[in-house]
Amino acid sequence: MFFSPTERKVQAAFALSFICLAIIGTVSYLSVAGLRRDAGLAAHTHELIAALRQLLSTVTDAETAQRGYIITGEEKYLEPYRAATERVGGDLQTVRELTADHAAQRHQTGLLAPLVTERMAVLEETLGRLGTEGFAAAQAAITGGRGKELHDRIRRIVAAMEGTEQALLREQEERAGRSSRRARAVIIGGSALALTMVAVALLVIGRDFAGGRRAEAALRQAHAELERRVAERTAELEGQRGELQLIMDSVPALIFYKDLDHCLVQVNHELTRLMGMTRAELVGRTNTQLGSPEAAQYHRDEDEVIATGQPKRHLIEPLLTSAGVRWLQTDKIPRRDADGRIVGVIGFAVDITERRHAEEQMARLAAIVNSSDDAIISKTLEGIITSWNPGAEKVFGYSAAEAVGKPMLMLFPPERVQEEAVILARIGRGESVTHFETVRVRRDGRLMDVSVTISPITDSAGQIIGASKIARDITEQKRADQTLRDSEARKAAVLDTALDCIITMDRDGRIVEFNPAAERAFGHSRSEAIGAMMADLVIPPAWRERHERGLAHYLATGEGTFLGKLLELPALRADGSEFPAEIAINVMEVNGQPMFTASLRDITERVQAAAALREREESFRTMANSIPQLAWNARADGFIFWYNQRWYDYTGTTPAQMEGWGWQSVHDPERLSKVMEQWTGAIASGQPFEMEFPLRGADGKFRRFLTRAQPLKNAAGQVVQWFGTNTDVDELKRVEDSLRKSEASLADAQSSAKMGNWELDFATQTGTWSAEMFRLFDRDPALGVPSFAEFETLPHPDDRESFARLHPAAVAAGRSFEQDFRVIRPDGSIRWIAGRAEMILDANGNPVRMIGTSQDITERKAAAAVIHKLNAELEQRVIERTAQLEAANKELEAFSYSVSHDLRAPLRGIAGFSQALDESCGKRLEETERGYLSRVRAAAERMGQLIDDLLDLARVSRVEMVRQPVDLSALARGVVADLQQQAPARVVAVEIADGLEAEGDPRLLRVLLENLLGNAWKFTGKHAQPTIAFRSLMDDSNQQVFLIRDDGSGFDMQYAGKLFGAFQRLHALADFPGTGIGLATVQRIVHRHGGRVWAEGAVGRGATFFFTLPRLLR
Amino acid sequence: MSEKTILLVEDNPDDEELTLMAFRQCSILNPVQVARDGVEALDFLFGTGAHAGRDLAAMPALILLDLKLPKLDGFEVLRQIRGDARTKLLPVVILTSSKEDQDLVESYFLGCNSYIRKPVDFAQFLEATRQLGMYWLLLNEPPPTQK
Repeated sequence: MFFSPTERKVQAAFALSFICLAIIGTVSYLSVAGLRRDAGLAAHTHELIAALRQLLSTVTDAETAQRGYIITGEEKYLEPYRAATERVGGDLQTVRELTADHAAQRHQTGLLAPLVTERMAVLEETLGRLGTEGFAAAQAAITGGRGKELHDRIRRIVAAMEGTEQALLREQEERAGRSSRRARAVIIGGSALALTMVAVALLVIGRDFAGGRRAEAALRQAHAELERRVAERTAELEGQRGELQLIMDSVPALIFYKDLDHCLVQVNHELTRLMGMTRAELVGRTNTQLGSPEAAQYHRDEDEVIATGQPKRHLIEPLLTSAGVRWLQTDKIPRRDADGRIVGVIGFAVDITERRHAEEQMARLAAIVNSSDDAIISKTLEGIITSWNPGAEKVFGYSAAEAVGKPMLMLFPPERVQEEAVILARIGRGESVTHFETVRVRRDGRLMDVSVTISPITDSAGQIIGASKIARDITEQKRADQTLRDSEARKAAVLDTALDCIITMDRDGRIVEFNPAAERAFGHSRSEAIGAMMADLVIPPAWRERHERGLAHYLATGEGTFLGKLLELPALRADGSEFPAEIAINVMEVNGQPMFTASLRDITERVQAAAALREREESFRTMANSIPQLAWNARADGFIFWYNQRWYDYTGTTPAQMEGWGWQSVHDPERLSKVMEQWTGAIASGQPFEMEFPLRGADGKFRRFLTRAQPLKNAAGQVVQWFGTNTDVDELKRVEDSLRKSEASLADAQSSAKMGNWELDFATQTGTWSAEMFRLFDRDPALGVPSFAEFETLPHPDDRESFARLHPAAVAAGRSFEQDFRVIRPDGSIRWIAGRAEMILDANGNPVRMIGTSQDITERKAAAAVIHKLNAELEQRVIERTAQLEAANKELEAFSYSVSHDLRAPLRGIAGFSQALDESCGKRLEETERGYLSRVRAAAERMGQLIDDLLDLARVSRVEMVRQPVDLSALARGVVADLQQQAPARVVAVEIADGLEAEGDPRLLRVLLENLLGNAWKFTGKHAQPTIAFRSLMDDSNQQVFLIRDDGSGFDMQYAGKLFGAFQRLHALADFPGTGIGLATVQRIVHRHGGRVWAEGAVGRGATFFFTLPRLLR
Repeated sequence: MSEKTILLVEDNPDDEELTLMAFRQCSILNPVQVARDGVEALDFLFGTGAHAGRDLAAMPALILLDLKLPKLDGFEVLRQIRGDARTKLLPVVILTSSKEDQDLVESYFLGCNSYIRKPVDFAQFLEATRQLGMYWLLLNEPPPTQK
C-alpha cells in the first residue's frame, strides 16, 4: 500500500471527525435514556400521590355520607356511603401495589391499611347502632371521638407518604437537568471539533488538485503540436497523391493499377465513368468479380506480365460495363516498387467499340456488295467509274480492272446517252434516282433491260463526291412479268365469270381473292373483302371457332379433313343473314405458303327444294292417312310398298303381311282371279285401273270397295309408281237401293203436296218433269215436257213479262230464283204456282242445268188475300181510333185547364164573401143564420177539393207515361213519412216489405200509393193501435201481387164492385171526409200500367187492396 | 211615388175585392194599382194608352199577376216585362187559381219570382196574402234600379 502525503492527511482528518461524532452519539444516547428513566419515575410518583389522595377522599366520602344519614335520616345519603364502602378496598390495593418497590413507603402503607379498615368498621358499627339503639346512640357514637381519632391518624400517614413522594420528585428533576446539560456540552463541542477537522481536510485536498491540473495542460499542448505536424505531413502526402490521380483522371484513356492478385488498386475517372461505378466500388475487385466476359484471359495475360516483367500490348478485351459490353485495346505493363520488385500491373486501355462496329459494318457491306447479283458501281460526279463489284462483272461483262477508271457512258446505248447528263444533274442536286427502268449495253454489245437506282455519295462533311449505282438485269423479270400478267388476266377472267363464289385466303386466314360471284352472294365488295379476315366476313359466328381450329390443325400437321371434299355449311351475308352453301376447299403452295381457295355455291334453293320435297312427301302421307279411303303405293311392277293407316285399320293386318302381293289374302277368293287379271292388265298397259270388288274387314265381313289406281309417269312417259285408293261404296250401294225405293214414295208425296219437280238442261234445251208437274199444268204426259220457249208461254199474260225478265236474268247470273206466277189451264181456270229454281254450274261457273220445283199455291194465295184485307181494315180502324182518342185527350186537357182556372174562382168568391159577411154582420145574425154561412163556406171548400181531385184524376188519365224501374218500398216510406208529418200525434204501426219493385211511371205510382196508404191511414183513424202493411205475394200464375192491408173500419164486400167508381163513397162524410175520387184514380193508374186492382174487406175488420204492375224487366 | 206600390193584375172583380180586403186585414197599406187585363198592366208599366205620360221613374215594388186575363194573358205580360230593360228586374209573383204543370213550368220559364195558388178558403187566402206581403215588401231586398 502506498498513499500520498495528501491522502494520509485527509484520512487522518476524517478519522478524527469520525471519533468525535461517535462520542457525541454515545453521550446523546445515554442522556436521552437517563431522561426517559427519570420521566418514568416521575410518572410513578404522580400516580402514587393521586392514589393516596383518592383513598383519603373515599374514606372522607364514607364518613360524610354516614353522618348525613344519621343527622337527616334520609335514605339518599346511604347511596354514596355504600359506593365508598365498596371502593375503599380497591383504593387501598392500588396504594399497596404502587408502594411495593419502595421499602419506606411500603412500611407506611402497612400502617395505613389497618387504620382504614378499622375506620370503615367504626362507621358500619355506628349505622348498626342507629338501627338497634336509635338516633341518640348513633349520635353519641359519632361524637364519641373514636371515629375522629382514626380519621386524623389516616390523614397524617397519607400526608407523610405524599411528602416523601414530593421529595423524590424534586430529586428526579435535579438529576434530569444535570444529564441534559452534560449532553448539550458534548454535542456542541464534538460537532465543532468534527467541522474543524473536515475543513482542514478540504484545504489539504484542494491544494493537491491544483498541481495536477497544471501538468495536464502542458501535456495537451505537446500533443496538439504533434497532431498539427502530422496533419501537415499528411496534407503534403495527399497533395502528391491527388496530383497523380488528377493526371490519371484527366487522361482520356482508361488507366488502372492492379496488385499481384489482380485486384484493382487504383482506377482513373475514365474507367469509373465507363463502368458506371464509383472508385470505391471498383477498388479491391477483380475482373472476375466485375463479371468481365473474358476475365480468365485477362488474368492469364496479367500473370504473364508479372512473371516475365515484359509488357503486353494491344490486347483486345471485352469489358462488361453499365452500357453493355465495350471493347478495349489494352497495354499492360509491370508495376514495380522502389526496389524494382514487381508488385502488380499497370494497365492503359482505349475504348475501341465504335471503331470495331464500324469495321464490322464495312466488312458486311463489302460482303454484300461483293455477293450481290446486282451491279453495284460507284462513280465520280464526272461519270468516271470508281468501283465495280462482281455483280457488275456478271451483268455488264466487264471485269473490274476493265471498268474502273472508264466513263460510265460506255454502258449507254447511243440513243440514251443524254440520260447520263440528267442523272448526273439530279445526283448533283443531292437527289436519288430509284427504279429507273432503261436499256444498257453489255460488253458483248447485247442490249438489256435494267432497273437502275442511283444515289449520291457524300463525304464526312456532307459534300457530294460521287454516286453509287445499282443496276439489275430485268430482261428475264420483264418476260416473267408479262407471263404473270397474262396468267393473272386469265385467272381474273375465270374468277370474274365463275358462277361459283371463289374466295382465297392466306395462312393467316386473310382474304386475298374475292370474285364477283362472291361479291353478289355475300354482299361485300371485293375491295372491302380483300385483307379482311375470312372468319369475320363470311363465316357465321357459330362456325368461327371450328374454322380457326381446322386452319390451325392444318398449319400444324398438314392434315386437312376439309380439303377436297364437298361440304355443306352455312355462310354469312353482309346483312347478317345466313344461307346454306356447298363448299369445296383446296390448298396450294404459293411461295412456300399455303393458300386456301374455297369454291362456294349458294344452295338455298336446293335446300329449300329438298325441304319442300320432304314436306310434300310428309303432307302426302298425312293426307293419305287422313282421307276416308284406303290408299296405297305400288312400284311400276305392281309390288305394293306402302299402305295408309286406314288400310291396316280396316283389314286388321300388319305391314309385313301386306307387303308386295300380300293384299290377295283380304280378297274374296272367288273374285280374286278376275281382280288379278285386270290389275296385271293395267300394269302391262300403264292405263288407269278401276274396279269394284269386296275386301274383307278385320271383323271378317266383306264390304264393297271401288278401287282406282293411277299410274305416276316420269318425263319419258314411263310408269314410275302406282297410287291407288279403295273407296268404301258399300253404304252408297245400299243407299242407291233405298233411293230407288224412296223415289216412288216421293212421287206420292208430291202428288199430295201438289208439288212437282223438274230439270232443264241448257246444252240440250231438254227437260224432265215429274208426274205431278203434268197434273199441275194440266198437260197430257203424252205431249212430253214442253220446250223452254213453250214453257215461257205458260204463265198468265200478266205474269209472263216478269217471268220472261227474271228467268233469263237468273240463268245469265247463274243464281237461283223464286217466283210466284199464275197459269191459265186449258180449262180456263187460273192457278197460282210457286216456282223455285236452283242453278247447277260447271267448274267455270257457267249454268249447265236448272232444277226446280213448282207448287200449286192457289188456295194459300186466296187465304193470304183475305188476311191482307182484314189487316188493312184493322189498321185503318186503329188509326181512326187513335185520332179520336187524341182529340178526346186534347179536349179533356183543354177542359181541365179551363176548370183549373175558372171553376175555382167563383168558389173563392163564395167562400170569401160569406166569410166577410160573417165578420161584418155576424153579430146581427141568428145562430142558425151564421150556421148557414159557415155551411156555404164548407160547401165551397168541399167543391174546391172535388175540383182538385177531379183534375188529379184527369191528369192521371192524360199524362204521358214513362216506364222505368221503381222502388215501391222507398216510395211507400216517403208517403208514410208525409202522412206522419201531417198528423204527428197519430201512432200507426206501418210495415213495409223491402225490395218491392216494379216497372212504371214513378209519379203516377206515387199518386197510387198516396191514395191507398192515405185511405188506410184515414180509415184506421178510429182505431187505438192501427196496423198498416205493404207487401207482395205470388199468385197461382206466378204473378207478383202487391197488397196494402189495414185493420181499419173496412167495408162491406157487397159494395166491392162500386169501390173504384168516381164519387163512390161507402162512409158518411162526417165519419171519414173524402171526395170518392181517390180509388177511381188508383184504378186508372193501375189500368194505365196494364195491371189489375181489387179489394177485400169486412166492416170493422179492415180492408186489403190488391194490385198488379208490370214485372221489372231485368 | 215614395211608397212601394203594388201592381195587382186581376180581371175578376171578386178576386180583386178579396185581395184588397186581405191586404187591409193584413195591414198591408201600400198603394195598390189594379190593372184588369194584360194590356192595361203593360200600359201602366210602360206609360202608354190610358197611362200615357206617367212618371216611369216610379215602378211598382211588386207585381201580382193572374195568368188567365182578357186581351193579353199573364204569360205574354210576363214575357214583355222580362223583355224590357226598364221592367226586367221587377219582382213578379204569379197569383192564380191553377196549379197545372204547364202553367208552373211556363211561368218559371218566363222568369216569375214566385208562384202562388189562391186557396178557396178565405182564412187560408188571408194567410197566404199576409205571408206574401210580409215577404216581398218587407223581407225581400228589391233590385237596386228601383231606388
